[in-house]
Amino acid sequence: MKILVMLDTGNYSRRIIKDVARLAKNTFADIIFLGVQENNKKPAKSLVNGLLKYQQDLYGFFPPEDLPYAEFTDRSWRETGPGKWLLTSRGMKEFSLHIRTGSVAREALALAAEVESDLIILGCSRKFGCEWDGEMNVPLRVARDAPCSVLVIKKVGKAKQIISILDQSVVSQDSLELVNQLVTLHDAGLKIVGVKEKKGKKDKIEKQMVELLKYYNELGIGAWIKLMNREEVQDYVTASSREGIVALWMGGRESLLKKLFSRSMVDKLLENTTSSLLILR
Amino acid sequence: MANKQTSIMILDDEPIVGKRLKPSLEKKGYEVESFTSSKEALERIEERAFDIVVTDLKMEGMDGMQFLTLVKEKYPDTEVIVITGFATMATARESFNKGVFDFLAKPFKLGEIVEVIARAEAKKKKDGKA
Repeated sequence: MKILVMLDTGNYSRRIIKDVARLAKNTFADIIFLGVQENNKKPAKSLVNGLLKYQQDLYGFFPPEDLPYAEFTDRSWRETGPGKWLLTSRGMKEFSLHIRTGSVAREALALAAEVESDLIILGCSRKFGCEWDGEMNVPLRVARDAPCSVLVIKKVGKAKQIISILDQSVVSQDSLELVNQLVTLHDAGLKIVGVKEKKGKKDKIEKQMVELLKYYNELGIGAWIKLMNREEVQDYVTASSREGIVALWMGGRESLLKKLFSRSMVDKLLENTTSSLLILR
Repeated sequence: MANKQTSIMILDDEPIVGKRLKPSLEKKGYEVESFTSSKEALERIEERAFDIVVTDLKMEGMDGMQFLTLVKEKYPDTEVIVITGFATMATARESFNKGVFDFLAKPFKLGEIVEVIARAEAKKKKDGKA
């Protein structure tokens, strides 16, 4: 698994390192830290120091004998393109720091595609909903446009439930595996909520829910399943977000959730929910 | 003399894993056998050695940990790569204690496991065991 972590010097970035470390400790994932600066001909000192501090914080969560990452042999940043720098180390797993110049969301999306990350993680300030450096647009754009799954951490720590909202779109194996990892990591219960259109489609979504139930039964994971109408979903998601992480399957062109959770709805969800939000693809 | 083809066994009860991996690895020149049943994989292990074994941990019947233990006991030179959808620190630690080459949590991209397999192959060649 390859995890891209978006970081800046905000408190919300500092707070998520513990959660990132927990995921990294369990999955032995390759970790990529990304910091984006607005405009500079070289990596800004404050960003470099911030990323190196996060790296040390992450390493500090591992017992030394279990640390799969290596220290950097030297700290010379390699320029990989205009406004792009990289510092990398290879232990049993790879750890790398990237600094890029430009728009935060655009650079994160581009890097996620380049390195083929399986998951993007970012924090956000909860002061006015879900902000990144004073902007709502960053978490929203990353959640909406990423080529892989995205975990927006609003609430750090263990989740009691993973509440997965499913519609009739294609459920990828990768997304199921990511849900499985989070259920294992948090030792959490799993709720799968199927969303049906007002008329028809019930059979299709019901069939998919039965298949999922069978999948989890075979894996020995107890899953609680509920089917609801699309107009009930938004309230349900807002209410159930108090219980844990809300996961939304947003893949597939025909995804009802994609329509239901339009730009403004993902925006509202990020703003109104207290929990972390996982967008599955 | 032609280089000996590196042999790989893939064991995962999710058929999609073998389906995705086998053709890509064969394209790269590996000899690949894919199994979805640990019982059948074990029978095959009794018949022949593989250079590299890629196994899931959580499966019906014999779990991957038991399977890799048996493989390492019978063929200590075989490099084992663990893939799991339910990764924990404890299972990772136990796997490494049993001598696995690498531990990959699902989901992963094809390129990631291909790269790990290439490193395992290089290690075997370096150690003169391939």
